[in-house]
Amino acid sequence: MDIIKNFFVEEDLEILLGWLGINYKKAMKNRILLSCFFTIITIFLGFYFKNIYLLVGSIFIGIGYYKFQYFSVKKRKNKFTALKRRMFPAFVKKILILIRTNNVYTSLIKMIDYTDEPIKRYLIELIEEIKADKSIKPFNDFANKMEFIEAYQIMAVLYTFSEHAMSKKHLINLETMISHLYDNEIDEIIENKKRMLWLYPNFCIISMLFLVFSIAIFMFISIMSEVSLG
Amino acid sequence: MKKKILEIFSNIKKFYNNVNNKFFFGRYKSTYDYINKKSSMKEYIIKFIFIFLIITSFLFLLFNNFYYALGISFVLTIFFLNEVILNNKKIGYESYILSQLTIYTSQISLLVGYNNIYASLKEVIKFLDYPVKKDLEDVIKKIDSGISITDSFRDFNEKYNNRTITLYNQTLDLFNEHGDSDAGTVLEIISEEMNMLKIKKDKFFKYKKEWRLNFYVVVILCLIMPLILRSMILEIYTDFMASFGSLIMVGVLVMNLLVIKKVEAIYRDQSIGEGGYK
Repeated sequence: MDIIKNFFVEEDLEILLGWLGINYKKAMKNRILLSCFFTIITIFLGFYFKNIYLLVGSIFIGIGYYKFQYFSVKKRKNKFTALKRRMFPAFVKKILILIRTNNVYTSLIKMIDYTDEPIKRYLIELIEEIKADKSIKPFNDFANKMEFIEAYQIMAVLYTFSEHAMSKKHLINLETMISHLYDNEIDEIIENKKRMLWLYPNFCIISMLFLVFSIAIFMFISIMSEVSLG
Repeated sequence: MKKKILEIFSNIKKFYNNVNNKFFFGRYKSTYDYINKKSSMKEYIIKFIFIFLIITSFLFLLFNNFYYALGISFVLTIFFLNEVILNNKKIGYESYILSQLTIYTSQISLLVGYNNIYASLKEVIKFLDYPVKKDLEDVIKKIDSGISITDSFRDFNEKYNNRTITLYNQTLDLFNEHGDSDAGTVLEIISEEMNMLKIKKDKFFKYKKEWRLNFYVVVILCLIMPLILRSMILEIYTDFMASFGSLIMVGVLVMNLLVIKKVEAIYRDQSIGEGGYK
């Protein structure tokens, strides 16, 4: 139901744009202007060619383009999430190396030089938040920005490391766990790819069926043309 | 006037080179350069003629028209050479590169137990072959000139575009800068990841091989169908091809070619989410 609701109401649009760092009001204004622009152009073309279908279609083109922009934002958001999901294990692995010779806070500061956007931005925010708040909240906020459930677990472990001393055994355990995370991700990608593969032979079969049907129709026409009904 | 003629000639030459590089020997040669082998014009021509003859004879049976068969088989031969034969060469080469990278990570993990990072990099070279060896030598040259390990590895990471390798090389820098006795263990875990990736890729590739074989069986069965029709209802088939049948047949062939192109692209694409990390 949520999918259908989101399709019409677009309740999640403001949140999506927020994640991508785009101003909602400005984006909506541009969106409406662009959709109107395409509608007007189609209306003009309709009048120019005196085509009623183009005039009627202009409304659908406007709505279609309006909706297309929403889906393109969603696609961008999904790509962004996937990128974070890919970068996070590498980020944690590097931090675990730094933790061996530094405390958690210093490691986080040193990590700024070894990470890239978008995690870099979140990391700077995390460091600022830790300065003001020594509880687990900044760590949870950071995990929330990563948008996958395992991040909470890993950040909680990092918080525990910052509060109490940690042993090398725990570090290695965490490293192995992150490797498993990567392992799972690869399995998921492979499964998705495998599912898509078996679609392709069908296209060849369909094209050949089309040829056979064409011959059948040709046969039918040629036979019917020879039959005289008089 | 002379200038204009020269300009026209240079444009014709440019056009010829573009077509050659996109469809003919130029493309063949660039793939051979990519896989570090010498290309030979003679070998290319022999392959071209051999495939051309097979396809022409098949199409002649389909279309009943020699000129149609000649024209379409020319396009099909180019397609088959560029998309199927060259693809196989590239795939073989890419798995070779991956195995080289796996050797690189596993050996470094062992070597850092006895040496520092720089000495390990120097020592690992003897286990590798061209092109990873040469790229690593370039990296060492850069480190010698005073550039940091991460920056020295930048081109290397970009070339091989594998996030585990990128992480591995960045980890080397971290250990070099901040130091720890645990380096061997951590690098070993990442190296294990690389091994796991290789095994999964190999398994998936085997699966894709099977799938590709099945796909071509379906394609061949589909393409034999018109020949069966021709042998069973020769008169109707000839009349059909003489009217709108040839057009439909060309459409069917184009559709099959597009699907084959897509299938070959999927078959060749061996990445399973390891690329794309900066």
